[in-house]
Amino acid sequence: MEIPYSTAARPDTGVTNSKLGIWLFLASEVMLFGSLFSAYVLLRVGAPTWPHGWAIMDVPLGALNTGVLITSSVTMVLAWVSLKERDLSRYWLWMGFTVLLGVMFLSIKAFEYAGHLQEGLYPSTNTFMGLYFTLTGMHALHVLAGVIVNTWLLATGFTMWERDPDRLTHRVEAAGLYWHFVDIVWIVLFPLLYLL
Amino acid sequence: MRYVRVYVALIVATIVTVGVSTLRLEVPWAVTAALAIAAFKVSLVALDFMHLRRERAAIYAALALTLVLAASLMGLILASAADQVGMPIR
Repeated sequence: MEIPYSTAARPDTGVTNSKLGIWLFLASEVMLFGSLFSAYVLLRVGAPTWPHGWAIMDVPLGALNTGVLITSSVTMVLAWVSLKERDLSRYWLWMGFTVLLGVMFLSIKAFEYAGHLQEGLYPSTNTFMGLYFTLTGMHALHVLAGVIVNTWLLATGFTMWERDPDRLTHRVEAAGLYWHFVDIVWIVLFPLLYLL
Repeated sequence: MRYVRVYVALIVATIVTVGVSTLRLEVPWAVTAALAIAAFKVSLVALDFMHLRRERAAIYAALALTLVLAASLMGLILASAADQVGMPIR
């Protein structure tokens, strides 16, 4: 059975199905990270003492990763703009950068994790480290999922563009909304875990 | 291009938030400053990169429902713990 794919905006909502669908998915993601942030606040205010993130974490490395992810948000939105302007070669360039920056973020994160483990800092070490690994691990999984989707959109882009340019444009828009959400989560995580 | 201006603002805000953290303010002030800068950055990404500055009513409706549900979730969890603040977690 083939599920019909419509690139036209629905008359009742005024938006495409893919766009409304990704926003509803992001709503569920807000609930997921909302519960994790609640756990952070709950455990922090309930703890008799709490370590400073800057005393444990590598702040320059965390700041670098913040810059990497923010840059990838810009390249992602420029990839979508390129498709709107019907410029497939520029789309490849910007989407390629987005994938590379996503991989760079994960590599830096893996390097940080390795450092923590070498220093004997495990999720079981204390509540702070447990929260740190849970929050950043969940976020890293989301980055990985975004990298996989963006790589797929890069690899199949030419074929999809030949067949149905609007479909590719809408898919990149939906993937972009997800990617920006992942960026937003990190923008909140960085000060909570590294700077306070 | 607007996207590039927003990008520069986000990078500057990141540098500012790291700079403020080196002042080693009292925790309440440090939390307020860090979250205020984070809120500014989040609003830039949402309004400009996610195009919420100009969106259809259906998207705003989905977003409003999300915010109500998320605020309820966090509010109920935190309210239930309010009487235990300062007690060690077991």
